Amino acid sequence: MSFEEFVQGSSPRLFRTALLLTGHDRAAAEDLLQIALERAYRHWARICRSEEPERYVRRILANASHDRWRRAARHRERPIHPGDADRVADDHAGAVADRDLLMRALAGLPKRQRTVLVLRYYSDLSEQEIADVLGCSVGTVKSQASRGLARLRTVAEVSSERSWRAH
Amino acid sequence: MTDFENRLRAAMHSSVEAEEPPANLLAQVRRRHRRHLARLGAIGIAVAVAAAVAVSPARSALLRDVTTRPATSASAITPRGQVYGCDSQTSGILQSDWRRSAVHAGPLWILNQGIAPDFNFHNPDGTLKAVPLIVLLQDNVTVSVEPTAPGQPYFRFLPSFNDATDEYTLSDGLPSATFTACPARTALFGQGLTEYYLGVVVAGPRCITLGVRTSASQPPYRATLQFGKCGT
Repeated sequence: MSFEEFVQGSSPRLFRTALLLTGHDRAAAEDLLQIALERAYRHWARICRSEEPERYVRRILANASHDRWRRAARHRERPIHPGDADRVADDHAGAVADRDLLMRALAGLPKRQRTVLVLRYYSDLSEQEIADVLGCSVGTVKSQASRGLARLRTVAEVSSERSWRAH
Repeated sequence: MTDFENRLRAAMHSSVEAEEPPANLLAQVRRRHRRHLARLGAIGIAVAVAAAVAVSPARSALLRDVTTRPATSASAITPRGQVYGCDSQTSGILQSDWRRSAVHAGPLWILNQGIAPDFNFHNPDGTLKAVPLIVLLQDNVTVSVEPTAPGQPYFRFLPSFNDATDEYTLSDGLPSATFTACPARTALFGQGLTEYYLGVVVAGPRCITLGVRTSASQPPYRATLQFGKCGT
Protein backbone atom coordinates (compact mmCIF):
# COMPACT_ATOMS: atom_id res chain seq x y z
CA MET A 1 0.00 0.00 0.00
CA SER A 2 1.37 3.40 -0.90
CA PHE A 3 1.34 6.24 1.59
CA GLU A 4 -1.08 8.13 -0.65
CA GLU A 5 -3.51 5.22 -0.67
CA PHE A 6 -3.26 4.93 3.08
CA VAL A 7 -4.02 8.61 3.60
CA GLN A 8 -6.96 8.44 1.26
CA GLY A 9 -8.45 5.43 2.99
CA SER A 10 -7.68 6.10 6.63
CA SER A 11 -7.58 9.84 7.07
CA PRO A 12 -11.33 10.28 7.69
CA ARG A 13 -11.24 7.86 10.63
CA LEU A 14 -7.99 9.30 11.93
CA PHE A 15 -9.26 12.85 11.59
CA ARG A 16 -12.38 12.03 13.58
CA THR A 17 -10.24 10.48 16.27
CA ALA A 18 -8.09 13.62 16.27
CA LEU A 19 -11.20 15.77 16.65
CA LEU A 20 -12.25 13.85 19.73
CA LEU A 21 -8.74 13.91 21.17
CA THR A 22 -8.56 17.68 20.77
CA GLY A 23 -12.01 18.35 22.17
CA HIS A 24 -13.50 19.19 18.75
CA ASP A 25 -10.90 21.85 18.05
CA ARG A 26 -10.78 21.55 14.27
CA ALA A 27 -7.55 23.49 13.75
CA ALA A 28 -5.80 21.51 16.46
CA ALA A 29 -7.14 18.26 15.02
CA GLU A 30 -5.85 19.09 11.55
CA ASP A 31 -2.46 19.97 13.00
CA LEU A 32 -2.40 16.80 15.07
CA LEU A 33 -3.28 14.62 12.08
CA GLN A 34 -0.58 16.29 10.00
CA ILE A 35 1.98 15.61 12.71
CA ALA A 36 0.99 11.95 12.96
CA LEU A 37 0.97 11.39 9.20
CA GLU A 38 4.27 13.19 8.70
CA ARG A 39 5.89 11.01 11.33
CA ALA A 40 4.40 7.94 9.70
CA TYR A 41 5.69 9.12 6.33
CA ARG A 42 9.24 9.17 7.70
CA HIS A 43 9.01 5.48 8.52
CA TRP A 44 6.50 4.37 5.90
CA ALA A 45 8.77 1.69 4.49
CA ARG A 46 8.59 -0.05 7.85
CA ILE A 47 5.02 0.80 8.79
CA CYS A 48 3.45 -0.32 5.51
CA ARG A 49 4.82 -3.80 6.05
CA SER A 50 2.78 -4.19 9.21
CA GLU A 51 -0.65 -5.76 9.05
CA GLU A 52 -2.36 -2.72 10.48
CA PRO A 53 -0.62 0.51 9.49
CA GLU A 54 -3.59 2.49 10.74
CA ARG A 55 -2.98 1.12 14.19
CA TYR A 56 0.57 2.47 14.10
CA VAL A 57 -0.59 5.87 13.01
CA ARG A 58 -3.34 5.96 15.61
CA ARG A 59 -0.69 5.26 18.20
CA ILE A 60 1.37 8.18 16.98
CA LEU A 61 -1.78 10.29 17.00
CA ALA A 62 -2.64 9.42 20.58
CA ASN A 63 0.87 10.07 21.82
CA ALA A 64 1.32 13.26 19.86
CA SER A 65 -2.00 14.50 21.22
CA HIS A 66 -0.52 15.10 24.59
CA ASP A 67 3.18 14.92 23.82
CA ARG A 68 3.37 13.12 27.12
CA TRP A 69 3.00 16.43 28.94
CA ARG A 70 4.01 19.41 26.88
CA ARG A 71 0.58 20.32 25.68
CA ALA A 72 -0.92 19.70 29.09
CA ALA A 73 1.58 22.09 30.58
CA ARG A 74 0.88 24.75 28.00
CA HIS A 75 -2.87 24.70 27.93
CA ARG A 76 -4.76 24.85 31.12
CA GLU A 77 -7.44 22.22 31.32
CA ARG A 78 -10.95 23.46 31.06
CA PRO A 79 -12.70 22.40 34.25
CA ILE A 80 -16.18 21.02 33.84
CA HIS A 81 -18.89 21.87 36.30
CA PRO A 82 -22.31 20.44 36.80
CA GLY A 83 -23.61 23.90 35.98
CA ASP A 84 -22.34 23.56 32.44
CA ALA A 85 -25.22 21.22 31.83
CA ASP A 86 -27.72 24.04 32.04
CA ARG A 87 -26.21 26.01 29.21
CA VAL A 88 -26.28 23.10 26.84
CA ALA A 89 -29.64 21.73 27.89
CA ASP A 90 -31.21 25.15 27.52
CA ASP A 91 -29.91 25.54 24.00
CA HIS A 92 -30.69 22.17 22.54
CA ALA A 93 -33.17 19.42 22.90
CA GLY A 94 -33.23 15.68 23.38
CA ALA A 95 -30.46 13.56 21.99
CA VAL A 96 -28.57 16.42 20.44
CA ALA A 97 -28.37 18.18 23.78
CA ASP A 98 -27.29 14.99 25.46
CA ARG A 99 -24.60 14.40 22.87
CA ASP A 100 -23.33 17.95 23.00
CA LEU A 101 -23.28 17.89 26.77
CA LEU A 102 -21.22 14.73 26.82
CA MET A 103 -18.81 16.00 24.17
CA ARG A 104 -18.43 19.27 25.99
CA ALA A 105 -17.73 17.42 29.21
CA LEU A 106 -15.32 15.11 27.39
CA ALA A 107 -13.43 18.12 26.05
CA GLY A 108 -13.10 19.39 29.60
CA LEU A 109 -11.44 16.27 30.94
CA PRO A 110 -7.69 16.13 31.55
CA LYS A 111 -6.02 15.05 28.35
CA ARG A 112 -4.95 11.66 29.58
CA GLN A 113 -8.43 10.73 30.73
CA ARG A 114 -9.89 12.00 27.48
CA THR A 115 -7.37 10.06 25.41
CA VAL A 116 -8.13 6.85 27.27
CA LEU A 117 -11.88 7.30 26.79
CA VAL A 118 -11.56 8.11 23.10
CA LEU A 119 -9.34 5.10 22.46
CA ARG A 120 -11.70 2.90 24.46
CA TYR A 121 -15.09 4.02 23.19
CA TYR A 122 -14.38 5.48 19.77
CA SER A 123 -11.42 3.45 18.54
CA ASP A 124 -12.62 0.33 20.39
CA LEU A 125 -9.21 -0.57 21.76
CA SER A 126 -8.92 -2.95 24.68
CA GLU A 127 -7.40 -1.77 27.95
CA GLN A 128 -4.23 -3.67 27.13
CA GLU A 129 -4.00 -2.05 23.70
CA ILE A 130 -4.49 1.39 25.22
CA ALA A 131 -1.76 0.67 27.75
CA ASP A 132 0.57 -0.29 24.89
CA VAL A 133 -0.30 2.85 22.97
CA LEU A 134 0.25 5.19 25.89
CA GLY A 135 3.22 3.38 27.38
CA CYS A 136 1.59 2.85 30.75
CA SER A 137 0.14 -0.01 32.77
CA VAL A 138 -3.32 -1.52 32.37
CA GLY A 139 -4.02 -0.36 35.90
CA THR A 140 -3.38 3.21 34.90
CA VAL A 141 -5.71 2.86 31.93
CA LYS A 142 -8.44 1.48 34.18
CA SER A 143 -8.07 4.22 36.74
CA GLN A 144 -7.99 6.97 34.12
CA ALA A 145 -11.07 5.54 32.40
CA SER A 146 -12.87 5.19 35.71
CA ARG A 147 -12.15 8.75 36.74
CA GLY A 148 -13.08 10.11 33.34
CA LEU A 149 -16.37 8.23 33.28
CA ALA A 150 -17.17 9.34 36.80
CA ARG A 151 -16.72 12.97 35.89
CA LEU A 152 -18.83 12.62 32.77
CA ARG A 153 -21.55 10.84 34.74
CA THR A 154 -21.65 13.62 37.28
CA VAL A 155 -22.29 16.18 34.60
CA ALA A 156 -24.85 14.00 32.84
CA GLU A 157 -26.74 13.17 36.02
CA VAL A 158 -27.02 16.78 37.08
CA SER A 159 -28.27 17.62 33.63
CA SER A 160 -30.93 14.91 33.74
CA GLU A 161 -32.04 15.95 37.19
CA ARG A 162 -32.41 19.60 36.24
CA SER A 163 -34.09 18.73 32.99
CA TRP A 164 -36.60 16.56 34.88
CA ARG A 165 -37.30 19.31 37.39
CA ALA A 166 -37.85 21.79 34.61
CA HIS A 167 -40.69 19.71 33.20
CA MET B 1 -20.72 -2.24 28.86
CA THR B 2 -23.12 -0.04 30.84
CA ASP B 3 -25.86 2.12 29.40
CA PHE B 4 -23.81 5.18 30.10
CA GLU B 5 -20.81 3.77 28.26
CA ASN B 6 -23.03 2.95 25.29
CA ARG B 7 -24.42 6.45 25.42
CA LEU B 8 -20.92 7.90 25.44
CA ARG B 9 -19.84 5.73 22.53
CA ALA B 10 -22.87 6.75 20.49
CA ALA B 11 -22.29 10.40 21.30
CA MET B 12 -18.66 10.19 20.16
CA HIS B 13 -19.55 8.57 16.85
CA SER B 14 -22.48 10.86 16.23
CA SER B 15 -20.52 14.01 16.97
CA VAL B 16 -17.85 13.36 14.34
CA GLU B 17 -19.52 11.16 11.73
CA ALA B 18 -20.02 14.03 9.30
CA GLU B 19 -16.51 15.41 9.68
CA GLU B 20 -14.00 15.06 6.87
CA PRO B 21 -10.29 15.85 6.81
CA PRO B 22 -9.11 18.82 4.74
CA ALA B 23 -8.91 18.13 1.03
CA ASN B 24 -5.27 19.19 0.80
CA LEU B 25 -4.14 17.00 3.68
CA LEU B 26 -1.54 15.11 1.67
CA ALA B 27 0.04 18.34 0.43
CA GLN B 28 0.13 19.67 3.99
CA VAL B 29 1.84 16.52 5.20
CA ARG B 30 4.44 16.72 2.44
CA ARG B 31 5.08 20.39 3.23
CA ARG B 32 5.56 19.55 6.87
CA HIS B 33 7.93 16.75 5.92
CA ARG B 34 10.04 19.12 3.81
CA ARG B 35 10.30 21.45 6.79
CA HIS B 36 11.41 18.51 8.91
CA LEU B 37 14.11 17.60 6.40
CA ALA B 38 15.26 21.20 6.21
CA ARG B 39 15.52 21.34 9.99
CA LEU B 40 17.56 18.15 10.08
CA GLY B 41 19.81 19.59 7.40
CA ALA B 42 20.32 22.72 9.45
CA ILE B 43 21.26 20.66 12.47
CA GLY B 44 23.68 18.65 10.37
CA ILE B 45 25.31 21.82 9.12
CA ALA B 46 25.55 23.15 12.65
CA VAL B 47 27.26 19.96 13.78
CA ALA B 48 29.69 20.14 10.87
CA VAL B 49 30.47 23.78 11.57
CA ALA B 50 30.89 23.03 15.25
CA ALA B 51 33.36 20.28 14.42
CA ALA B 52 35.29 22.66 12.21
CA VAL B 53 35.31 25.25 14.95
CA ALA B 54 36.63 22.74 17.44
CA VAL B 55 39.78 22.16 15.41
CA SER B 56 40.29 25.71 14.27
CA PRO B 57 43.02 27.79 15.85
CA ALA B 58 40.63 30.72 15.78
CA ARG B 59 37.81 28.76 17.37
CA SER B 60 36.97 31.31 19.97
CA ALA B 61 36.32 33.94 17.36
CA LEU B 62 34.38 31.60 15.12
CA LEU B 63 32.30 30.33 17.96
CA ARG B 64 30.73 33.73 18.20
CA ASP B 65 29.43 33.28 14.66
CA VAL B 66 28.27 29.74 15.21
CA THR B 67 26.30 30.65 18.26
CA THR B 68 25.20 34.01 16.88
CA ARG B 69 25.65 35.52 20.30
CA PRO B 70 27.65 38.56 21.31
CA ALA B 71 30.99 37.53 22.65
CA THR B 72 31.57 37.44 26.34
CA SER B 73 34.27 35.60 28.11
CA ALA B 74 31.66 33.62 30.00
CA SER B 75 30.11 32.23 26.82
CA ALA B 76 33.37 31.11 25.24
CA ILE B 77 32.72 27.42 25.21
CA THR B 78 33.84 24.75 22.81
CA PRO B 79 30.88 23.03 21.17
CA ARG B 80 30.67 19.35 21.92
CA GLY B 81 28.20 16.56 21.40
CA GLN B 82 24.83 17.32 19.86
CA VAL B 83 24.70 20.96 18.85
CA TYR B 84 21.35 22.68 19.25
CA GLY B 85 21.52 25.91 17.31
CA CYS B 86 19.16 28.81 16.81
CA ASP B 87 17.72 27.19 13.69
CA SER B 88 16.14 24.52 15.85
CA GLN B 89 14.95 26.71 18.73
CA THR B 90 11.26 26.50 19.62
CA SER B 91 8.72 28.95 20.90
CA GLY B 92 6.19 27.34 23.16
CA ILE B 93 4.02 28.98 25.77
CA LEU B 94 4.66 27.75 29.26
CA GLN B 95 2.62 28.40 32.34
CA SER B 96 3.78 31.48 34.16
CA ASP B 97 5.20 29.51 37.07
CA TRP B 98 7.23 27.08 34.93
CA ARG B 99 10.42 27.89 36.82
CA ARG B 100 9.01 26.28 39.95
CA SER B 101 8.97 22.87 38.30
CA ALA B 102 12.21 23.25 36.38
CA VAL B 103 15.64 21.94 37.30
CA HIS B 104 17.87 25.01 37.44
CA ALA B 105 21.62 25.05 36.85
CA GLY B 106 23.27 28.41 36.25
CA PRO B 107 21.90 29.91 33.04
CA LEU B 108 19.95 26.75 32.24
CA TRP B 109 16.49 25.43 33.14
CA ILE B 110 15.30 21.95 32.22
CA LEU B 111 11.70 20.75 32.31
CA ASN B 112 11.27 17.00 32.24
CA GLN B 113 7.94 16.28 33.84
CA GLY B 114 6.56 14.67 30.77
CA ILE B 115 6.54 11.06 31.71
CA ALA B 116 3.89 9.26 33.69
CA PRO B 117 4.98 7.68 36.98
CA ASP B 118 4.76 4.24 35.46
CA PHE B 119 6.33 5.19 32.12
CA ASN B 120 8.23 2.28 30.62
CA PHE B 121 11.51 3.50 29.16
CA HIS B 122 12.06 0.28 27.24
CA ASN B 123 10.14 -1.04 24.27
CA PRO B 124 9.32 -4.76 24.32
CA ASP B 125 12.24 -5.42 21.98
CA GLY B 126 14.69 -3.75 24.36
CA THR B 127 15.04 -0.50 22.46
CA LEU B 128 14.40 2.77 24.22
CA LYS B 129 11.63 5.30 23.92
CA ALA B 130 12.50 8.94 23.52
CA VAL B 131 11.68 11.25 26.40
CA PRO B 132 10.98 14.91 25.61
CA LEU B 133 12.75 17.69 27.46
CA ILE B 134 12.32 21.42 27.31
CA VAL B 135 15.53 23.34 27.81
CA LEU B 136 15.61 27.09 28.40
CA LEU B 137 18.81 29.08 28.65
CA GLN B 138 20.20 32.56 28.74
CA ASP B 139 23.81 31.78 27.92
CA ASN B 140 25.68 29.26 25.78
CA VAL B 141 26.27 26.04 27.66
CA THR B 142 27.61 22.58 27.18
CA VAL B 143 25.85 19.84 29.07
CA SER B 144 27.41 16.45 29.75
CA VAL B 145 26.08 13.39 31.47
CA GLU B 146 27.94 12.50 34.62
CA PRO B 147 29.59 10.25 35.44
CA THR B 148 31.09 9.97 31.98
CA ALA B 149 32.75 6.62 32.56
CA PRO B 150 32.22 4.38 29.51
CA GLY B 151 30.65 1.65 31.60
CA GLN B 152 27.73 3.81 32.67
CA PRO B 153 25.93 4.87 29.53
CA TYR B 154 22.41 5.61 30.67
CA PHE B 155 21.52 8.86 28.95
CA ARG B 156 21.90 10.32 25.47
CA PHE B 157 20.85 13.50 23.66
CA LEU B 158 19.15 12.64 20.38
CA PRO B 159 19.83 14.56 17.16
CA SER B 160 16.12 14.57 16.36
CA PHE B 161 13.02 13.65 18.29
CA ASN B 162 10.18 11.88 16.63
CA ASP B 163 7.61 10.27 18.88
CA ALA B 164 6.93 7.51 21.32
CA THR B 165 6.65 4.81 18.70
CA ASP B 166 10.22 5.27 17.60
CA GLU B 167 12.82 2.89 18.79
CA TYR B 168 16.22 4.14 19.84
CA THR B 169 19.40 2.76 21.23
CA LEU B 170 21.95 4.64 23.25
CA SER B 171 24.21 4.69 20.22
CA ASP B 172 21.66 6.91 18.44
CA GLY B 173 22.61 9.86 20.63
CA LEU B 174 25.52 11.53 22.33
CA PRO B 175 26.27 11.96 26.03
CA SER B 176 26.87 15.68 25.74
CA ALA B 177 25.22 18.61 24.02
CA THR B 178 25.82 22.25 23.25
CA PHE B 179 22.92 24.65 23.56
CA THR B 180 23.13 27.99 21.84
CA ALA B 181 21.63 31.04 23.49
CA CYS B 182 20.22 33.11 20.65
CA PRO B 183 20.41 36.91 20.62
CA ALA B 184 17.42 38.55 22.26
CA ARG B 185 16.13 39.88 18.95
CA THR B 186 15.91 36.39 17.46
CA ALA B 187 15.12 34.36 20.58
CA LEU B 188 11.57 33.18 19.96
CA PHE B 189 10.65 32.33 23.55
CA GLY B 190 11.14 35.87 24.86
CA GLN B 191 12.24 37.03 28.31
CA GLY B 192 15.83 36.85 27.07
CA LEU B 193 15.62 33.07 26.99
CA THR B 194 16.08 30.54 24.22
CA GLU B 195 13.99 27.39 24.23
CA TYR B 196 14.74 23.98 22.76
CA TYR B 197 12.36 21.06 22.65
CA LEU B 198 14.39 17.90 22.24
CA GLY B 199 14.41 14.20 22.83
CA VAL B 200 16.68 12.15 25.02
CA VAL B 201 16.91 8.45 25.72
CA VAL B 202 17.34 7.14 29.23
CA ALA B 203 18.00 3.57 30.27
CA GLY B 204 15.71 4.28 33.17
CA PRO B 205 14.22 4.55 35.58
CA ARG B 206 17.09 6.41 37.24
CA CYS B 207 18.41 9.85 38.05
CA ILE B 208 20.93 11.47 35.77
CA THR B 209 23.35 14.13 36.92
CA LEU B 210 24.45 16.57 34.28
CA GLY B 211 27.37 18.95 34.36
CA VAL B 212 26.48 22.33 32.89
CA ARG B 213 29.40 24.47 31.74
CA THR B 214 29.43 28.04 30.54
CA SER B 215 33.18 28.20 30.31
CA ALA B 216 36.05 25.76 30.16
CA SER B 217 37.72 27.52 33.06
CA GLN B 218 34.76 27.53 35.42
CA PRO B 219 33.57 24.54 37.42
CA PRO B 220 30.32 23.07 36.11
CA TYR B 221 26.91 23.61 37.61
CA ARG B 222 25.17 20.38 38.54
CA ALA B 223 21.68 19.44 37.45
CA THR B 224 20.03 16.21 38.50
CA LEU B 225 17.12 15.03 36.40
CA GLN B 226 14.74 12.44 37.74
CA PHE B 227 13.49 9.90 35.23
CA GLY B 228 11.28 7.71 37.36
CA LYS B 229 12.69 6.56 40.67
CA CYS B 230 16.24 7.43 41.62
CA GLY B 231 18.68 4.96 43.05
CA THR B 232 17.84 2.10 40.72
